[in-house]
This record gives sequence, structure tokens and C-alpha cells, in this order.
Amino acid sequence: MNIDNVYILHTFAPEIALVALALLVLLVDLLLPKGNKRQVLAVFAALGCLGVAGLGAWQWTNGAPTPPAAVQASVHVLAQRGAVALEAMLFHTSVTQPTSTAPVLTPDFLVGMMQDKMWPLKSVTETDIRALYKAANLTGMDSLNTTDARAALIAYTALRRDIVRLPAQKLGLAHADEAVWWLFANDQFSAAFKVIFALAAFLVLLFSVRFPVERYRGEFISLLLFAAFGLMVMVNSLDLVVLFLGLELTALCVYPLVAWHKDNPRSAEAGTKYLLLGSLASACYIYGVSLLFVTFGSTHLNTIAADMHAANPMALAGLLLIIIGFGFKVAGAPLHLWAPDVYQGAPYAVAAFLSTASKAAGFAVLLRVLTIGFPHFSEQWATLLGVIAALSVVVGNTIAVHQNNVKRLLAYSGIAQAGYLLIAVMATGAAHLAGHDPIDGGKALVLYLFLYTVGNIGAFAVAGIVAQDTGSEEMSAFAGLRTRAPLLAFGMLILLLSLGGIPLLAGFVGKWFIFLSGVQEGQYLLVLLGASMSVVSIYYYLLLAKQMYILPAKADAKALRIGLPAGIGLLLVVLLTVAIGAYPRPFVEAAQVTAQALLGR
Amino acid sequence: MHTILHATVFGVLALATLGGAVKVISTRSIIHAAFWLFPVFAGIAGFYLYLDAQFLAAMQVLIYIGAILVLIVFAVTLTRNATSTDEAQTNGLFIPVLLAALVLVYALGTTVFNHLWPIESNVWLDAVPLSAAVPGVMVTDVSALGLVLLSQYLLPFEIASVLLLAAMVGAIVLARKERTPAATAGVAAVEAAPADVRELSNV
Amino acid sequence: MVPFAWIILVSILLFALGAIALITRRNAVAALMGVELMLNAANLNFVAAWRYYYPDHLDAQVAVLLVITIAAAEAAVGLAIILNLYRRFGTVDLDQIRLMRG
Repeated sequence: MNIDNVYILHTFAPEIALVALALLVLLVDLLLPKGNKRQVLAVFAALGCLGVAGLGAWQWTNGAPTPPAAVQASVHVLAQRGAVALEAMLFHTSVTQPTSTAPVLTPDFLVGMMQDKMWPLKSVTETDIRALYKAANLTGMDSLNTTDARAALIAYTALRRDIVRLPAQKLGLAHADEAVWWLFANDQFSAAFKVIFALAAFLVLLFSVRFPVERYRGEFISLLLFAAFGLMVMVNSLDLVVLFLGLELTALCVYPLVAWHKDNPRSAEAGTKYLLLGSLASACYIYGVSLLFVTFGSTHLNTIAADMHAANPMALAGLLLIIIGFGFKVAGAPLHLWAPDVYQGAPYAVAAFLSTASKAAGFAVLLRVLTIGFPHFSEQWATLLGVIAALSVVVGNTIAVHQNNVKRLLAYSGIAQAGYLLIAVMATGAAHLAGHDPIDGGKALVLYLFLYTVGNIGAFAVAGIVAQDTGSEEMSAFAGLRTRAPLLAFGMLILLLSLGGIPLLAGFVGKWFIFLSGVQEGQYLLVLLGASMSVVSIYYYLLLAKQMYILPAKADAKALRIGLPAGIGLLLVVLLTVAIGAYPRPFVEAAQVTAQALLGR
Repeated sequence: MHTILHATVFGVLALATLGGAVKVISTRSIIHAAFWLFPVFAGIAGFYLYLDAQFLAAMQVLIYIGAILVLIVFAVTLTRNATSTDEAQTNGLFIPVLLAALVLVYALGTTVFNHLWPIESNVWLDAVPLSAAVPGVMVTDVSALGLVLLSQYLLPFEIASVLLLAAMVGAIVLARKERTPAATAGVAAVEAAPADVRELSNV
Repeated sequence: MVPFAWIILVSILLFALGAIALITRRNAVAALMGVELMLNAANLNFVAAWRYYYPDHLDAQVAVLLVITIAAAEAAVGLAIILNLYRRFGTVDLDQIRLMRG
């Protein structure tokens, strides 16, 4: 076994650091004496997360790492093999087509054949052929069989992305680093999401310092970190089985976290609900993956895309089950029923993590799987996502209006936000269908996920602080917050207005780009629905603002202390929200680069 | 003769698997449902043997029957008297879910039968050849699997170990019995003994 | 060997039965049994496809091993959560556990 340690360290620095941090937390927790000192642990872990985010940002600025030398060599051999296979296949075609005389095997001739619809390889384009010829220089290979040809075909489609990815053992790649390179994307798209998850974990840990997790704080923190690690695996993997591993790693960390308050029956109930519905979703997902394996003999996204020439009912069934799995993860409308109950029962820190980082991962993975693995099904999945988006926006916003419990209000608003985000995913599919550049949808998605993650964690944190102080989760607990904690109230106001999409705040910028991407693809009805429902959402956000600013505080209410870590976190969140709203340019550009890494041709 | 043999083996395995699964759903006693999982897991292990995946069959027996089944039986005994056997064991969704499941089976089944397979899916085969993935090593050999697992899938293998650790931490924390009675009150801690909770649920 | 579609049919039926168990059984432990049935159905698909069509793709066996691992971990975590539920409510009947309306 030959592992390029430098390559592994370089490509998985944030993940390795995160796991090391989690193990360290578990260890230190054993050594520390009981009591409040454990809160130090949360701050320590939060700072560690900041470091992990830094590593992610470093990866993002560096771009995709160069593949190991062994991989480059294999790719070259492969290209040669592929060219020969192509020639052989062409020769076969010319023999079976009696009208054609002996052809001259040039790229131009191949392209001509493609246009004559005689082309047997639907997924190979002109660019692929030219790139292939360039790479191979048509140097001779002595033997050839159909496995080679098949392998080469897969290579052609992937050549569009400059680098060829092939099933390792088909190529005789036995080196672990080659295989690692084959299974994981390691592009700027995943690097950006590593930053988002690390930031989310950082904020959640900062706020969790004052939330009541007295027992097992070390375990609580380490599970949160492991969950973030699982999310990173999810967004980074190109193989659906590895993706499942990440999905389950996160889920198995979050199930206990939801049920963490062992004295609270609601927490136990929420944990059970999440466990059963989450298991249903992941079982659907892995069954869909197994159907794809039955159809294509692989669970790798590039192989699936290369082998799928036309809409194939088996693959469609698999895709449908996979979308059901993700629909649950992101709490899209018919699959949203778990969210309000689970958030209500879960500790605030966990609900914040669940409704932001976990949802962001669901969307990132959804975008990657659909656009890389299933471009041939754009029509089907775009339609399906459009329906889910419309349902989520309507259901989330209309039910949120009637909520009295702040956690449930945030849950339903989160369902509505999932609807907006689905519009962006759907726009990439519609763009692909129409032959447009799908970048805009991806850009809007990345930008909105970032600002939503930051803003929503802040909102949950304020709700948690208020609830902890008053002992009530009802909206009325916010009454007169202006007098009891002016800064807290002001911060919450900004976060709520941003979620509602008021101009000059982050949420507006995000919604603007999402709706723009929808309009560009002609989804006027959907965008109109989203925009009008977004007005409804301002109403219920303002209901909460009314409690804080207009209604008087209870007579016996005291001033509310926030505490330093949570204060810093809140300040950061509000500053980011205002900054994105006031000067969106750098953030939009970063989102553009990120989306380009995934969707760019 | 050959065909009859194969059909018999398949019939026995399918009967064990599906019959067990039907009993898991329909039986009134929860402990019996747990025991009916045994023919399901064993039947699947039998299928693995039939399909030349001996190592997986061994793993199926060790992990599913040896660990998971035992764990489930433990859970059933620890949560005894949960539901008495004279009540209905299924909730009001049973009929709609059954119909939905029938639709699912019909849709997936017709898809499978109509799909264009590399080898016809509805014909009898003498024996499908097993070609070698790694030169010089039989595919059914465990060493081939080991090579793939520790080269191509080395990182997922490591991630799985992290997953097991995380699951262990979570399970231990939750399953542990607290010595001191509820000292901490959560944000909306509803301090209630089981009896009160049932009243609460009626509110 | 028996036709490929027969085995896939068993897998589809097993998946459907597992889903029925998971959604309709009132006992939380029984619902968890449904998950195990569904995961087994997926595993059967992987192994059958490997044997009939893709014998040189050992990925299938690795996938099955990983799924079995995950199923074991999920059973452990799930049963801990259900045990915790039982301690709080004195029952694992999902119809009686409705503190929150969803």
C-alpha cells in the first residue's frame, strides 16, 4: 500500500483537524474536574472550529490540489487506451454500415459522425473527442477489449472536467491515494462548505456555553464535532455509498444530541421521532443507491452520468428514492412533518445546528448529485423540485403565522427557507435543459446557504437565551425585551428582518439572487409565489418584533445578561448579516467561484 | 433437475425471508416479532451464500444475528409491558400505507421486468461466470475484498471507525442510568413522572 | 441460477414490508425492526447485481459491509434512544407519546 501522506494531509486537513479536535475534547473532558470549568471546554472547541474553518478557507483559496503523480500517469495511459478503443469502435461501425467506405480516423470525421446521428456513444461530445486525441496523441496500444472501451468511454465524459476519474480497480489503480482521489471531489465547492460547517459548529459551540448541557458536556461537544465531520464527508464525496457513510455519521451523532435532555420528556420524544423518520429517509436513500448499482454497476456519480444515455426508468426509480432521502434532510414540504416537533424538543444548540448546517449539507449534496450524476434527468428532477419548493414555501409560511412557540415558528420559517433554496436548485436544472449556464442557480444557493446558516443560528441563539431567562418558549417571553436587553433585542430584530428579506440586509441579497436565477429560467409563477409568500413571512417576523419593541415587559422582569462568548458570537452574526446586505460584492464573487468549481464547464 | 434444485433453494430462502418479514409486521407479541427477525436475517445470509458471497454471509450471521438481533431482544425485554397484546399493534395508517406499499411494489416490479438488462433478467442461467477483479485472485476470495477495502476504500473504512466511535459515545450517554435524580432542568423541562405525562398528553 | 428478477423481487417486497413495519407499528422497537428489514433489502440488491452482472465490481461487497456496520451502529443508538424514551414515558407506544403536535 502506497499512500502519499502529503496529498492526504493536504486534501483532508480540515477533516483530520476536526476529528482530532473531537478526540481531544473527549480526552480533556475526562481530565477536567467537574463543574463550570467544563464551559472552558466549549470555548476551546469553538476556537478549534475557527481553526478548522481557517484550514477550509486555505483549501478554498488554493483551489483543487494536483492529483498525485501516479494518478496523472494512469490518466495518460487511459487516454491512450481510450483513443484506441474509440478507433476500434469506429472501425466496427464502418464495417457494419456498408455504405461508408474506409474512413479516415480524424477528430473531424468523428465529429461529423456524431452529427449524422450514427454515433453510438451519446454521452461523448465533440470537446471530449478533441481533448482525447490531444491527450493520447494516438500512440499505439497493442491490445484492446470491451472493458477497456467501456472504461475509456467513461473517461471521455469526464474529460470535460480536465481530469479523468475512473473506477480505480478497472484501471488497476491499487494505490490508496489514487483511490482517495477517485472517491472524493476535493474541489472549491466542498472547501467552501467545509468553511460553512466549521463556522456553524463554532457559533453553535459559542452559544452552547450558556445553554444547559451540564451533564456530559465533553460528549456533547465531541458529538457535535463528529456531526460536522460527517457533513464534510457528505459534501466531499463523489460516491453515493461514501456519501451514505457521511449522512449516517451525522445522523447517528444528531439522534442522541436531540434527545440529550434526559430529564425532559419532550427531548426524548423528539429524539425518537427524529430517529424513526431519519432512519426511514436513510433506508430509502440507500435502497435508491442499490437500485442505481443494479442499473449501472457503480455508485460513483461520474460513472453513473457516463453510463446513462437516455432516461432510464430503473435509474429514475433510484433517483426518486434518493431525492426522498434528501427531501427529508432539508425538510422540504411533504417531508417536513418531523421538523417542528424535533426542533421543539431538541436543545437549542442542536436545533440551531440541525436547521442550518445539516440543511446546508443536504442542499449542497443535492446540487452535486443532481447536476453531476443526473443531468439526463434534469427535466424530471427540476419539475419535482419545483413542486416541493412551491409546497414548502406555502406550507412553511402559512403555518408559521399561527405559531406561538418561537422554536416552532423558526422551524416553519426554516421550511419556507428550504422552499426558496429549492427554487435555486431547480433553476440549475432548468438552465441545463435550456442549454443556459447553470451557474446562477448554484451561486444563489451557495450565497443563501451561507447567510442563512449564520443568521438562523443567531436567531436560535437569541431565542434560547430568552427562553432560558424566562423559562418560557412562547412568543410572549420576548415581551419588552427592548428594555430588558436592548442590544439583544436589536440584534434579533436585524436577524429577523434579514430572514424576512428586508433590503440592505443579507437575506434580501440572497433572495434577490435566488429569484433572479428563477426568473432567468422563466419560472415566473414559482418566483411570484416565493416573493409573495416572503411578504407573508415578514408579517410573522414582525409579530415577534412587536413583542420585543412595543409590548411592555412583565412587572417582575429583570435585566438579562448575555455572557461574553454568546455576546461575541451574536456580534459576529449580526455584523456578517449587515455586511453581506450592505456590501454583497465580495460574498457574491466568492459564491460565484464556488459554484463555478462545481458547475463550470 | 438442475432447475428444480435452484428453484427449491430460492423458494426456501424467499419463504424464510418474506414470511419472517410478514410475521414481524403482523404478530401481536413484540417479543415474537423480534424472534421472527431470525428467519429474515438467516434467509438473507442464505441468499448471500447462494450468490457466492461467503464472507458477507458470515458477516450477516455474526453482526445481524449475533449482535443486532440480540440487541433488539434486549431492548424488547427492557421495555416490557409496553403494549399489551390485546390492543391493535399498528396505528391508523395501516391500510393507506399498505396500499402505498402495493403501488410501490407494482411500480418497482414492472420497472425491473421491463428494464433492458445486460443479461436477460427473466431467464434461467446455468452459471454466471465470475471473472477476476484482481489478477490471480478469485473474486469469491476474501483477499480480493480485503485488497479493495484497504486500498480503494481505505478512507471510507476509516470514516466507518469514526462512525462507530461516535455511535458508541451517543449510545452510552443516553442509555446510562443517572444516579442522582434530575438535578438539571432544561429550558422547558417538564418534570413529570410517567403517570403525569399521560395526563399531559391528553391536554 | 434462478432468474435475476426473482431475487430483485424478493428485495422489493422486503423493502416494502420493512417500510410498512416502520411506519405503522406502534411499538418503537418494532418500528426499528422495519429499518433493519429495509437495509437488508438494499444489501440483497447489491449482492445480487454483483453476482449476476458486475462480478468484477467488488465495490458492491464493500458497500454491503459498510451498510452492515452502519446498521449495527444505528441499532445501538436507536435502542439507547428508545430506552431513554421508556424511562421518561413508561411506554414505547408511539401513539401514546404525543406531547407535541406536528
